[in-house]
Amino acid sequence: MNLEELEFSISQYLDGTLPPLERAALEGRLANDPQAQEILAEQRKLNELLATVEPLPAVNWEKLSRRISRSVDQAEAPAVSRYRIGGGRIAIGITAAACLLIAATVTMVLLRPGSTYQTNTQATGVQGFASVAVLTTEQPQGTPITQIRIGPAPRLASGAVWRHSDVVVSRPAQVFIAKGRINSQDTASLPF
Amino acid sequence: MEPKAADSTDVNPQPPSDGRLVALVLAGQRRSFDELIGRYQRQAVAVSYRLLGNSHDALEVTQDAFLKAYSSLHTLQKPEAFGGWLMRIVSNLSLNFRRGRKNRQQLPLDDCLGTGQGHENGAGGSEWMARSGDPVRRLESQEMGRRLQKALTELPEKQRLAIVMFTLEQMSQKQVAEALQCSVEAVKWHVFQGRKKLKELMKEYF
Repeated sequence: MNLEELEFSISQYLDGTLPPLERAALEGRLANDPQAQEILAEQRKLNELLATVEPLPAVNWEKLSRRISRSVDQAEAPAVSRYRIGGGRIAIGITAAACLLIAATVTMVLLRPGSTYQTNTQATGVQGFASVAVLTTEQPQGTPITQIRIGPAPRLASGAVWRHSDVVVSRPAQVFIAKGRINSQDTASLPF
Repeated sequence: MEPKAADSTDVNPQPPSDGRLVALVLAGQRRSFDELIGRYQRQAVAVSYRLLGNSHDALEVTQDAFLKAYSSLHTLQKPEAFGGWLMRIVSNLSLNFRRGRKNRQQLPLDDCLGTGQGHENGAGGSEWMARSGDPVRRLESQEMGRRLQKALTELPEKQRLAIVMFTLEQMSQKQVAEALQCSVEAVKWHVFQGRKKLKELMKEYF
């Protein structure tokens, strides 16, 4: 323990805030250490000096209390309580519960089997849902004249070349064209 | 034999806590704030007086502090810590007091002061010691009080507040920590450092 630590301990000792174990250790040191005794005496003298500080002026506390109270009467009231258990908090709770219920209902309606928002995945055998694009609301009639598969070209599908494009996160499995022109798009040069 | 009438003092022996009073005020019971005023006005005047050295200013700051506390009571995070929070307002207002007086409608407070105070001339001095009748001791005590007051003003702000609140006004360390927005350990340190500096500033008395 250096000098400042010793002084700090003695300061707390005089204030009665030194923890019991440290207090016992300090008392042991004070019994034998003249330097510690001197510091203790100095700090006691300083406390005595501080005790000579002038007393408070005489104040009529009841009168002062009344005056402050009257001033507070004229002051702006504090904001509405956050402690009050009233309509406000209950309304917030009901609103939150209603929002959750609506969200759950909408989700169930959208995801139930047969929903028009669910993608027909049987054609490709791919499991999962497409989040956008082709909605099977109107199936083409008759034999398709052409069928376009959207996806990596066969030579790219197994390689790592196309993986650099991570922008498209979902795609329709297939597009059926009942009538139309021949697709001249060169899919071999595109990642999808 | 008739049943013994209940003693009204046993029904609710504990006064409401600060936190309870704060909650009542926020719930619209304005009169509960009067109880907080009664609880803390002396401490507020004392802290302000120690920082300003003038009782008239101290009363004005105290009134302002209660007004500010009332109007911003909803911002108090820990209602149980009302006392420390109020002392923070008192000390901030006191330290800013000399920067200028606001124009405001204020009720006069001078008549709240007693007639027996004789140490409001700014000269300091320990009146209760000066009453001893010994002229030499009286002069010594006045000089000591003056030096002590001056030395206090020369302390860094946190040390001065810690000495005033903890050592002079004997507030709890927890309450001082709340007022200074620091830990209890930091309060101990500020008190210790403040005492060290006071000892240097008043070394002729050692």
